[in-house]
Amino acid sequence: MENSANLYNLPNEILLKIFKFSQNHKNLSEVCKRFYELTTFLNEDNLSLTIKCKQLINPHFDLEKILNDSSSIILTCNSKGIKNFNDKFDLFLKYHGHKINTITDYNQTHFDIRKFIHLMPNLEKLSYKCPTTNEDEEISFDNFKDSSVPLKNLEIFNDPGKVWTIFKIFNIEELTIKKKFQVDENFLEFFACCKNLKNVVIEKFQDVSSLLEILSTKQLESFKIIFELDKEDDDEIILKFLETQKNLKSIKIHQISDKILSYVCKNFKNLESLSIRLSEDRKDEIFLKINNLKSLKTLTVKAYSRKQIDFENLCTFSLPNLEKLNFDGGRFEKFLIKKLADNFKNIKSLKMYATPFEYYEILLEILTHFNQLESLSVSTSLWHLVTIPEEFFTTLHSNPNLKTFIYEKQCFDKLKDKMKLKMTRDFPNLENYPEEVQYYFAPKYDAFSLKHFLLDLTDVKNGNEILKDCSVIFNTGTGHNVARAKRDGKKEITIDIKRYFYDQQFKTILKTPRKLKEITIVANIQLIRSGAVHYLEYLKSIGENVTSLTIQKSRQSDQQQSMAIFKNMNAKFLSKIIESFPNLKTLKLEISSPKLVEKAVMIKNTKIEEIILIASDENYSNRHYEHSEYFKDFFKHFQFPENSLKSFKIISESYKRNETFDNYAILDFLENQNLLTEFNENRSNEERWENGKVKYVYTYEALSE
Amino acid sequence: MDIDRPSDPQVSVVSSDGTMFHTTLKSILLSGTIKDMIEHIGEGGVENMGAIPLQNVDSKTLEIVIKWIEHHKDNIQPTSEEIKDKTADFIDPWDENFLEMDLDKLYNLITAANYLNIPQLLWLSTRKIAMLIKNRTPQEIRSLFNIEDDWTPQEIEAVQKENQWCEEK
Repeated sequence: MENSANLYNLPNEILLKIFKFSQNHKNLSEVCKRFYELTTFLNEDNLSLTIKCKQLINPHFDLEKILNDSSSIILTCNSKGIKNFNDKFDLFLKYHGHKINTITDYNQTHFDIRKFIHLMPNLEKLSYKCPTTNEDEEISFDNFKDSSVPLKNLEIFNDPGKVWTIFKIFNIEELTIKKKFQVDENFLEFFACCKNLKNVVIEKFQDVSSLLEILSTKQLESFKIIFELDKEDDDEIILKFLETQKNLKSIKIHQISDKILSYVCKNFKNLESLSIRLSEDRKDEIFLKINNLKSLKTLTVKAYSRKQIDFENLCTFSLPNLEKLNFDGGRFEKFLIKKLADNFKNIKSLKMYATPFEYYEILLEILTHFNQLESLSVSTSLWHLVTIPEEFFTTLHSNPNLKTFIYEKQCFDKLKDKMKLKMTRDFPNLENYPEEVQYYFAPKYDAFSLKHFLLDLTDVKNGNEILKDCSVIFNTGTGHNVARAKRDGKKEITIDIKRYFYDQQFKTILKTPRKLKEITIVANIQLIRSGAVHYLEYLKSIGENVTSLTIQKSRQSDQQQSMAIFKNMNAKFLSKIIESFPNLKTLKLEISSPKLVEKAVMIKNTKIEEIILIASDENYSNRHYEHSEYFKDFFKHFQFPENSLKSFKIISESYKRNETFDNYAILDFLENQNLLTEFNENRSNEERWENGKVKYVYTYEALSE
Repeated sequence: MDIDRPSDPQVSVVSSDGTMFHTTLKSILLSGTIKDMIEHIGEGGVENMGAIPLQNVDSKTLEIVIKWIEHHKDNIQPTSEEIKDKTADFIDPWDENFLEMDLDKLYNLITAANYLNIPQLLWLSTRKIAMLIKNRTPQEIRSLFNIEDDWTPQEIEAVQKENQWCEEK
């Protein structure tokens, strides 16, 4: 009898349990094909890598960098609990105010735009909540009088009363009214100045007639009324208003009556966007009239649950220009997807809310049949949330057009990293991920798992424009963030070396980036010394291709981790590190403390062309060392190779305004070392906004002629 | 405590080949599968429920399982989640000795522990196999566990080349 009790016959789940005990999966992977496949799965529970996408701002991002790099900023500002907010805000605006084009300002009342608007010369959109003012208080217009702020889009959260008048200097094109207010003299004065008003959104209003009567004097392009209309009187008022409008391209009416919908479908043949909530007692044939709107590009239909949207008839509509289709409410059957896709071949954006019962099957149908889709958003009710099975990913059709994909997060919660990677691969141009794509990598990884992970990542990155600039950080010092990638615009792998680097496992992991050209060592060298031999051996093994080396201290605010890298360090060891890179052309060193303890050493890299030394104050520390002391001390201990050096730069970044460095010491150094016998020198000062403070940056540069 | 009932009532289980075993409720509850079954019986059902049939466990293996659960009935057992964080370094000498058995028995024990959902026993038995694999070459693993080598020379060469990446020097 054949022995059925064979290791090979155990189910995958058990073999994986056995393999997980092993630290080295290499031998296992070579036993047979099945074991090879299984070992590639071992990494999945543990990989921790965070890929951030363009639009997401989160704590892992360097906010300073974003602020400095971005050409426009959307400001959501809450001043509550911030001491001296006005002073800080004033300083912030001084540096970044010109980049602000939108302010969303929902929940605070302390921040008075009137005081700051002159500091935001490019502001285009403002969500405004009027500060509570005393009736008798004189409103200051000083900053508004000569304003050239191009404000066009105004959103009003409360009745501004007298404040209306301050907005009359702007050329408002789009007005959104969020709360009820009185059409009084102040409003009329403001309204009279809105020469180019094109779009109006009314979210809350009681006396519609007075407002619509005034709006009738303008020819609008877009009209949206979002609050409940249930009186017949209101119907008459809206009809009367619509009769005055000839140019409307976009209409949104929250609860549209049959009467108004009939009028719209008959009289606005050029309508491009229609958004309606169907009334419960509507007649079925009214819905069919939408088919008359041949210019329609966007259609949004909301329904009451008791009266369904007539999806079957919708699938027969002839709307050749339709690109965006949004449903809210109603049951959507899986078989309709194909019909819908066949009928509306140009659909680029599809949104379905609280609709599908067979959530993942419908999602799959949509992704299969809507080939032009650029944006997809599908949600369902709590009762129909199911975990997306792996088949979903294996049968997924790749769609290079898809840029936005919003799905029910819970359904994807238990997804394996491999599946997420596949998704990232199938939708290479996805810009708005519904959540950051995260991969967890626990401390108990092994080199084999990491290899597979990195191969997958490389594969994804190669085919994905958005992710291709990701870099990976191996942070061996902390548990869950062992490996994480962040988007920082540099094609580099940063190795954040902490106390575990001498570990054998770590040594193997470090062999990953063999072909690196740029390398950054974020390090506490004092700790590194305890494993110096392994470390230098490793650097040599990867060092041949490296042409650019940066050694910097950890950026984390944890004081212990940020200990100065040159504090009490061995200059010889640093020179050994540098020498591990025989083809180095650029060397960037961040130095922090003037306590080098050994004799001068010669750095023998003969190909170094550029050296940059940086001394920078730490944000959390109130101590300010004299940076010139750092440099002097550094010069005492290092000798650089002659001849090859073409550029030598010293940068001091200090929160202290008077910080300067001693130019004589630099010149002495250069002279003593016979460096740059003929050079041009440049000096520059610059101020930078960092961590809520101004940082003063002094640069000295010597370039060979 | 309910004075009318014994503190740890007797429970019977029947193996796939029809052998009946008797053990205590406390012991048998170490099996997540049986615990679920008993919870579904409802109020006062334990004494009257009769023997529990275990179609996937033969009598030889069930005997081994019962020996293990009776020994550990008073120990707090880790959950499946807790097991995940357990290191392989140390195990109870009794368990070490208990697991001294031939491979066939060990495979059957693993399958039974998995079916009966006894996380600690599954952990111990899979660890035992992992220890046997440790430090063995691919060929040694194949011989020990009677596994067929299904690689072609070209394939294995490619895999080995790929694996050079994580080889220790």
